[in-house]
Amino acid sequence: MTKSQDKPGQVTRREFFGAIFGLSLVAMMAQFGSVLARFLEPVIEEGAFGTVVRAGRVEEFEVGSVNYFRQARFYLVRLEDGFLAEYRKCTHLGCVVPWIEEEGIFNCPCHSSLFTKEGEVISGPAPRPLDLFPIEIRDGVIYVDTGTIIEREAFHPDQLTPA
Amino acid sequence: MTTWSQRITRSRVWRSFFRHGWPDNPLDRSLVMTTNIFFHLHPVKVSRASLKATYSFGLGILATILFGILAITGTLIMFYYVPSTERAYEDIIFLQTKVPYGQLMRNMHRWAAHGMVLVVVLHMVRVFYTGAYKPPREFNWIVGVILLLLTLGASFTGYLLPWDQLSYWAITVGTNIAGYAPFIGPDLRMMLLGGVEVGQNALTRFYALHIMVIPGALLLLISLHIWRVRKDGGLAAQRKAEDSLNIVGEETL
Repeated sequence: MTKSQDKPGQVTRREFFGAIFGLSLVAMMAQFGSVLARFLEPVIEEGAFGTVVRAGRVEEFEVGSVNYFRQARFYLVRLEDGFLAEYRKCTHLGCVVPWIEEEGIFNCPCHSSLFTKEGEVISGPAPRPLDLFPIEIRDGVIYVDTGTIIEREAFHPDQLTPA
Repeated sequence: MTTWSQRITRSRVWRSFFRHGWPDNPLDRSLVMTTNIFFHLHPVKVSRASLKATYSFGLGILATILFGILAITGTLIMFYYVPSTERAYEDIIFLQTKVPYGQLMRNMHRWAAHGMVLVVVLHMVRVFYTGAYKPPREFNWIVGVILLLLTLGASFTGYLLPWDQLSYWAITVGTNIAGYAPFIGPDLRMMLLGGVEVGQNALTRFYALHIMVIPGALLLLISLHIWRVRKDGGLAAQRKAEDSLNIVGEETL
């Protein structure tokens, strides 16, 4: 800052206006920064992967069935006691894991990780079962929140959402 | 307060950036300008006469600031815009309706573009009426004319990018006018459109011109233009003031 030797501790007019200018500059940059951050934050459209997706009505899915939702990137599995929404992404290195209906398993083509219907690892390098998305059933309609990924160590019946 | 600020300004990192002291004396103030790639375009000292707001109305610097706003908002719009006939219109709608501050960015880009054309023309008028185009500044006048044409070119190419009815027919009409130019007209029109009518090729070409070719040329020529002002002896108003040697330094400010 400009020297103010005359009276130590006294702020000169130039220092005062310099500080005001500096502070306004900081405030302006902060505003630009927040606008920039909001502007560049990805916009995810309603119903797309990353939002809450309407999967369908409960009675549309038979017990024991595995239904693939390609746009929303998950498998909707109906077991005896309820539903699981399993993320299609292999927990090993992120490949898309196809469901093999004839064998009743998920078989990852990249490094041959095999998963049960519940998503548990049968063999291969996958470190943990297939990840889950939370399911909510309202008025008989299944909604899957593809914005929240649940990692798990093993399959537990309490991960099921009862119909 | 002095201790930590001194610790910063005496650090090796700081002194590798700034090879001069705090600008509170004539030498360091000169060094601020001459050791900085951006500031060195500007003279170290200016005459009091050229500081009078009603002499230049600050139109040149206004045009430069508008160019800066256009470059920043334009770059941000590029984050959401794909120059394809399938997507361009949808992307603009998406930008305006879904992206936070998207409408603001587009409007800033649009109004700054209109403003830049207006300001550049007024700047030219000012230079003409103050006789600032006369030797030794005649070369800079020519650079200024090229800058005017580039500004209009940027506006024209940007016009097509929203890919709505207004854009489409404006460019159809505009390129047909270009087609009437003697000798080169029809070829020029084909070169601009990349075909016989406005389509994907035209959109691709106008996009490349709008975001790269014209702004690049503008940046280069604006730098040359401002640097030439200094090299040609500062603002033309200085000449009148030189008799009284009323040069503004730190003493008079």
